[in-house]
Amino acid sequence: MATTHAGSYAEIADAEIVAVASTGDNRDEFASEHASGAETYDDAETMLAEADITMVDVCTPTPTHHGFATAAAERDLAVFCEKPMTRTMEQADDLVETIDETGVPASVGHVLRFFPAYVTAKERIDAGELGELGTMRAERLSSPPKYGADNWFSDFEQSGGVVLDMAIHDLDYLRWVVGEVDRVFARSEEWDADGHRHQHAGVDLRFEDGTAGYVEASWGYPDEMDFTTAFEFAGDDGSLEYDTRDERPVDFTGDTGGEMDPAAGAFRVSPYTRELRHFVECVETGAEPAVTVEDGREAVRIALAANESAERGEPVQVAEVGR
Amino acid sequence: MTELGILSVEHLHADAYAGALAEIEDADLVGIAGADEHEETTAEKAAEYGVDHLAPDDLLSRVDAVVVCSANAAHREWVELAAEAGVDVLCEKPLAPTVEDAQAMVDACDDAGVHLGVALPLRFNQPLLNAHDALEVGQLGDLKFLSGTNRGQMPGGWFADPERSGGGAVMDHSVHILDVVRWLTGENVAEVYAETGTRFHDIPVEDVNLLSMELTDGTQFTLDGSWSKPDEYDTWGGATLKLVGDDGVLEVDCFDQTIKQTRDSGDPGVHQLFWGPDADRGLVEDFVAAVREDRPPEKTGAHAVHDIEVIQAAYESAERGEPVAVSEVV
Repeated sequence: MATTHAGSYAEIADAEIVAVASTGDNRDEFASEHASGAETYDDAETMLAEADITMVDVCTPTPTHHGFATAAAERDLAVFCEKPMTRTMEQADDLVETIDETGVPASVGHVLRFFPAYVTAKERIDAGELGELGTMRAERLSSPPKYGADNWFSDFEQSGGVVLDMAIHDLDYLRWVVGEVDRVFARSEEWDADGHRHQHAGVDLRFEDGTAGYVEASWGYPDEMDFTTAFEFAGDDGSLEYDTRDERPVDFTGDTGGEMDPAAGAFRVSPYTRELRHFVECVETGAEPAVTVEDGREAVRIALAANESAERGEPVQVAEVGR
Repeated sequence: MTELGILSVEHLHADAYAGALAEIEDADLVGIAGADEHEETTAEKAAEYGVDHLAPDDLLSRVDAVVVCSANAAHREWVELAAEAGVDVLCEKPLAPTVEDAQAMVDACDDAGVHLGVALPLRFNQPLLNAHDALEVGQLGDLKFLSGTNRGQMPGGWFADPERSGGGAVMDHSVHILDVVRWLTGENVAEVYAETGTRFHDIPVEDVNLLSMELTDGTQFTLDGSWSKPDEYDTWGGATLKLVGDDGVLEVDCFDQTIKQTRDSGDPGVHQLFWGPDADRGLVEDFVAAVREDRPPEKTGAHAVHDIEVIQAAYESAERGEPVAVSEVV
């Protein structure tokens, strides 16, 4: 995600990466490739103390988000934190409190709110074109992420599995579109292969307004698969469906030779760049970000409720999680 | 020549079965019969199919087998009538609105020595047959998670009348994929959690049907069988099944073999023309062969009793707001 974000900052005129902190040995290589001229640090504390920065972007493994985001906020720095905002509800409550007290601009990487297809669907729903919503579905299907440092995605204690790491995108999005979730019921299957956590999960959602939803997320596909997302909204006056399996705006046949792949997405502005440009503007103007840390906390709450449900085999009231 | 009749044409599928019978060379649709209160509709359909409109007893005395296409609540009466007449029966799904009725029908047919089948054509759907083969050769490895959909438009009429249907989307749109999963895995359903509701239409039955299940071997199985497709949808709905194994994932869209048609007049709008192998034809062929060979059809009434147990457990779960073990409702 750091690479993606660095690419986006390069497109944002008002932003510049001047410092990179990472415990990974590749930080100098990363800086020279993606953030030329940036100072590199092997620990975040030193960077926060020494570098001349106004904002920090936290792209580290999930359990460390809370510590780095807190440290940045306490130094009066704006914080952009990757999703999930935190690993636990205690961390989420604590971070929300810190952001409240320090008053620094802060946001969370719920980037679906900047994906044009997802935004278009929300606009149509808000315009009443579907009538009253009845059901919705969202899918986010992938092979297991094998790129995490020390294989941290495979460690449930760190990543929270496919629901906290992947389904949380759709949980936040559906909450944005529909409203608060009353209860969840989740089924999940996990298995280990090649040392990597494989998992497939299906979460039933009941929203406070009575709408029923289903979110399915997978780290169970073979590596050959194309990352797949889909959504469907059905209301009493119509429906909307989107599925990346049907989306082929550019199809390339041949050998890319390792160069750019013309079929890899057809965005004029990457959703990640939209997301970060929006936050940089908020930092400059003091406007409230589209995604607040309260949103980040509620998304974590729903995801943890789903994990709890899968564990206990019972429906879980979302509001009771972390309370 | 195997001679068949249709008892009650309340269910729209009667058209498909009559059509299939017309194409099958060694089968003959002799006539149709219906309840007194549906005399007019039955007569119209008899004319449409070009067959005799007969009194039920007359029809039963002239045929080797019947297909029952009544509303769900009347299945039992018709099936028992056929059993008494010593005639094999293919009953429209779901077998019955209650486990009690379903079991009574199975017992009645057993006692009479006739075969009872249930009309679940997806067992003859070619994409699913491909999935069946893939599982048989072990291409997916160990099966971990199954996720299915079977959505449709709200069918209206007796389907939305709880007295005649026994229930809404849960009753109508659970058993197709449920049966497919049982057929593919050889497992039953151990536990069901259901989120239901009436969100799309002003009707006295549920149109939301989200089920979350666990099979007897522990495999997870989720199913969306809602009546959530808008009236203006470009097709009736659809059926899909995703099979996640530790060696591979198979995604099946049962009705994706289509041509997109756009018409300016007649039936204006965008339509999907299905061109894949006709599963209804496969279903009826199997039943005709079963009658001729005096063997059970592919899907038996006895096997279908568990389907109804799962439906009953789903209603129980929706009522109680918690997962329900299917064994609790047996």
